[in-house]
Amino acid sequence: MQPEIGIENVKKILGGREILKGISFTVGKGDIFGYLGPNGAGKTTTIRILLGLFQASAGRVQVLGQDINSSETRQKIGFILDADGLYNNMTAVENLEYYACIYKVSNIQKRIDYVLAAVGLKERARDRVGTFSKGMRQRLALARSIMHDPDVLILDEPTSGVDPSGQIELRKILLDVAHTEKKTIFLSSHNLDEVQRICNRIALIDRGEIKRYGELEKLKKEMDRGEVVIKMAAPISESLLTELKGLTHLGLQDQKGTVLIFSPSKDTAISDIVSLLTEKGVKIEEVTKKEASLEELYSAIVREVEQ
Amino acid sequence: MMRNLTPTITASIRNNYRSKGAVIVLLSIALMMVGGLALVFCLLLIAPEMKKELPDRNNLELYLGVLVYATCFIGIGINLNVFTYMPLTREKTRGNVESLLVTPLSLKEIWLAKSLALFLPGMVVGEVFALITLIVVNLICIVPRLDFIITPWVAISSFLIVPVVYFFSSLLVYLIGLTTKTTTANVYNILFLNIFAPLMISLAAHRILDIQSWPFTAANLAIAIAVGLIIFLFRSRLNKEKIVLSCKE
Ligand SMILES: Nc1ncnc2c1ncn2[C@@H]1O[C@H](COP(=O)(O)OP(=O)(O)OP(=O)(O)O)[C@@H](O)[C@H]1O
Ligand SMILES: [Mg+2]
Repeated sequence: MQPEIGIENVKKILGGREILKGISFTVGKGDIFGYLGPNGAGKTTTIRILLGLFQASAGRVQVLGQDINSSETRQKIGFILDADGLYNNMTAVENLEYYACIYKVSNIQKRIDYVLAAVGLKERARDRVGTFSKGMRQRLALARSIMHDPDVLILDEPTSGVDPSGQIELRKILLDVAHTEKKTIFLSSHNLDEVQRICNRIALIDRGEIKRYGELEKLKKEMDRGEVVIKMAAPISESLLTELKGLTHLGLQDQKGTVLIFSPSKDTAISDIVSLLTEKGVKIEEVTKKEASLEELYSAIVREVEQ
Repeated sequence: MMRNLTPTITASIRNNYRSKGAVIVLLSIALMMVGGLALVFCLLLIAPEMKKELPDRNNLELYLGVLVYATCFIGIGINLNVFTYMPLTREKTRGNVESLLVTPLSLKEIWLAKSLALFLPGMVVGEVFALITLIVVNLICIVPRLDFIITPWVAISSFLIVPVVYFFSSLLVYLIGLTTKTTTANVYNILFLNIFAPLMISLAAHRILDIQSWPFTAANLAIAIAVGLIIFLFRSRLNKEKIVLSCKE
């Protein structure tokens, strides 16, 4: 099946710097695709290329199987950019009317009522957008993006700058839209938690390169180093510690107080470690398996960038 | 085509002239300049001529011609000068322009609509002011003794060709303003008004070009064509990437 969005080996050079270093991914129909990366990773640049605002320096870009530079393709895309692009001196309704005219939406008033209700802005419909909070603006931008019933939504950090409860609300609206209107959604974010909550597929981008890409669940499994943490009644002796470290399949990392941390090889079961320890006379109080860590990978990337 | 443009023209006009204050500023500057000009012409040129025993109709036609032409040229020009920089800067930094570029509108349509939104109100202001000047000066100074004065070449130059000049100028202003810094577009506006208004007015006033003849009209047309040519030469600079990149500054 033809992917809704396909990017192949796309490079982008801006001001002599290679901002995107050959990225590839596809977004399938009905996907909620999370494009995750820290500040400056190249998310906005990628989105601008997808939307035809930037020309890729190399590589292929297709949206809905077509060239983005045709206005028919753009008619089928909804978007929120980095800056929302709403007119402050117009009311919510007037902002929507303007875009409805551009997109030649039929039955404009009915559609505006519907999208305003969908994002919960009915009461503020006649207020000037200049008086709106950041969260309301983002909701209005979302309303505008679904106004013309597009097939694909491309959203650049739709929840950025919105407080946590506002974010939850926005995500709920997004999920509603995705499910009731069966839209494909591509959204960028620097918030791993957000992406894990709503996306089924993700790409992790860092400094213009895609580091991880695929089904969220699969990635989680892959990333799962399966760390096992064992809490004991008392610390073990140095000699036992060295002995255990010698058994490489256990992957003993360290002893911290009364806690041992293992990253065992794939074919080593937790019970193997436990029985071995019991054999050696270690009193075990608690065994925990640490969860998958996309988070660790992501924060490692973010930390590196910040340094 | 027009159906595509209308929403953007109306929205842009609303945004350009959003504050009553700005509109009042425009109208007062225009009124002061144009009114002052009319007063000077009436007191220093037209009235003395009318006091003569036999007023020279040729002279009167020249004075009134230059006055009407100058009113039109300056009236439309002031609008461009006042309403280019702020609205466009606002639209670029707030992402309004970038968002429009993603809609099905073509870049040419956006460019044309925005240029028209800047040009049309100025044209109305300039032409209405010029028309009022023509009628009022005639009624007060001339009609008591002579026939109503209006010469066809002056009318064509002022009411037809000057707007064409400014329509092209608006297109060029937006070509510059969208793809480079907004300030650059404003510099163009200031230079254009300050070079061509005095130039054309003195050419006529010194009778180097007879304002009541087709060569004067042709000279105006030549300016329009020159501006059009510049647009043609630089039209390839108008692309989305340039616009988006220039929005940051
Ligand atoms: N016009 C430009 N010239 C040179 N470099 C640029 C330009 N625009 C962006 N960049 C650089 O490209 C990189 C990616 O920028 P981009 O805006 O795509 O990041 P982002 O992932 O959207 O970040 P954020 O989370 O801050 O929005 C950054 O390092 C930025 O400095
Ligand atoms: Mg960004």
